[in-house]
Amino acid sequence: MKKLFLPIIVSLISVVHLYAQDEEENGLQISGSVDTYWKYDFSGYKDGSGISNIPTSFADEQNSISIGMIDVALSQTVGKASLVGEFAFGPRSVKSIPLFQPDGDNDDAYVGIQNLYASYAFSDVFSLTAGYMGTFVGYEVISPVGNFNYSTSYLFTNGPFQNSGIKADFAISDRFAFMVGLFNDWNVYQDFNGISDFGAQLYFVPIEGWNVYLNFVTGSPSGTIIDITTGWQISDDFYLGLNAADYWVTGENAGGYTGVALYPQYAFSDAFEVGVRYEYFKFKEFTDTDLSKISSQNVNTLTLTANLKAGPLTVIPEFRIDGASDDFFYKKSSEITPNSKSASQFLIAAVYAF
Amino acid sequence: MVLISGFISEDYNFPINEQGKYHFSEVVEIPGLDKEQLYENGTSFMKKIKVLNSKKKYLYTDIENLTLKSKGSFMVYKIGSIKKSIAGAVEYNIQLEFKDGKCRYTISSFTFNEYKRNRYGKYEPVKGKHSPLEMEVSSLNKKEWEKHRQVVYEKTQDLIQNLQSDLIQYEEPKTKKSKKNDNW
Repeated sequence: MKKLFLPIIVSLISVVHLYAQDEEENGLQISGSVDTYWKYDFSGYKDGSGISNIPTSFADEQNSISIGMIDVALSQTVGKASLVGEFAFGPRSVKSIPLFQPDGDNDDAYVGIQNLYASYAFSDVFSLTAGYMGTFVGYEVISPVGNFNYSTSYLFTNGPFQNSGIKADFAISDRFAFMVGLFNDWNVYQDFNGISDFGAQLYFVPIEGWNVYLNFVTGSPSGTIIDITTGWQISDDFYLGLNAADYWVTGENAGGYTGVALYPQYAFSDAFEVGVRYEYFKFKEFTDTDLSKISSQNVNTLTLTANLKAGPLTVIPEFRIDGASDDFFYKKSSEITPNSKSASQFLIAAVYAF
Repeated sequence: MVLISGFISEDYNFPINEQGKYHFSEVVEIPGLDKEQLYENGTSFMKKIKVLNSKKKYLYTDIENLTLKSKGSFMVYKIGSIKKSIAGAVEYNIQLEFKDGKCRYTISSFTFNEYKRNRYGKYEPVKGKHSPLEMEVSSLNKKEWEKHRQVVYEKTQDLIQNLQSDLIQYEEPKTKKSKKNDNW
């Protein structure tokens, strides 16, 4: 038993200091990642740029030790204000962000900004954020640290990557929140036709560990997308994610897509996890530039991925097979038109997060 | 003293209970303060505890049994970063019980909640996944896990220090201000 003796009577001076807070929390946070991979398409196909069959984003270079990107995110919260500035260099970054034309000339400049925004929390419930932000739509993200699989889905590839704009977040409780915002067209630093998209997100937690996001963006010429992204940590070891979306656009570029992807994952230990991604994706019928109708196509994808974690390093071996309703892939490099309904690949990637 | 002697883990002398769980508990004597004053001081202390990135209010007060319960968390960081980068938060339960001149604290149920980078470049808790801090991890991740334990041990010691200094706070009874009497 410990005895504490009263010092000379201390008057009660209330100094509000939260014992959960860390001093570092107000400092500048630096985080990021680097990633590299080797991928082999079993058909041996690659185009003139060395890109292989499966046309989803990133990890697309055939039989080459290739790089993803170096990504650095700076963030800081001081009082009610916070900022995030994230820049990245490398093929994964180039393929995920728009180019920019400074001074209106025709020379594209690489800006390399993934996120650049500032927020102000007016209260515990209400905050306002403005700037260039990763999209709130969809399950997968640009940063390889945020994904379990290294290759990406068709839903991700065809959906928005960024929505810059201004948004109001209302975090009513830990289990319910919503967001509304005005945004530029998808994936642009500057919107030449003015702010033209409206977006909203509804977040709720039906039961502990199960998170549901309902997302909606509409505008012209972007089109309209309705998306559900959900993840359920069913047990400490078993996780199930799901993403489904429907996208349509009218007018000259009428078309769209619809799809669903399932992400069951099992953690055998803290160092070894295995996950499957199954995706069904369908391009809707659309009108080509020569005004001819292109009928819809669909593709089924199965991806088996392992994550081997050693501290900040994750090694990701992955096998993937895609099967399409029509000739969508190539059997070998010399082919000019697609002549295969399936493609398969193996890759191994290393992602280091700091 | 509720500390189970003889069951001290090798790591930073975490006290452990019969179930093998990390468990800090001790009776602290504060002579000169009655249970009501200690309860009041304990309530002020507990109000300063929170789970980071949570809007939930965890404080449970039972004035009849002079017991307070709540939940808090400590941030833990990745090792080897240029600048501290968040690995996760370790949540804990805290309970205070009061008698005249005494307080018993119990800090237990330490669970690690991993933080992951979200699409906006910020770290946030992975929902629904909590790993007990006593859990043994693979050799590949042992170094970082041990570091987390060490940080939690040190921060718990700081928390106990803060509790003790808050408990001995005593508000001096306000003396009546004498009024100048002109009709003397």
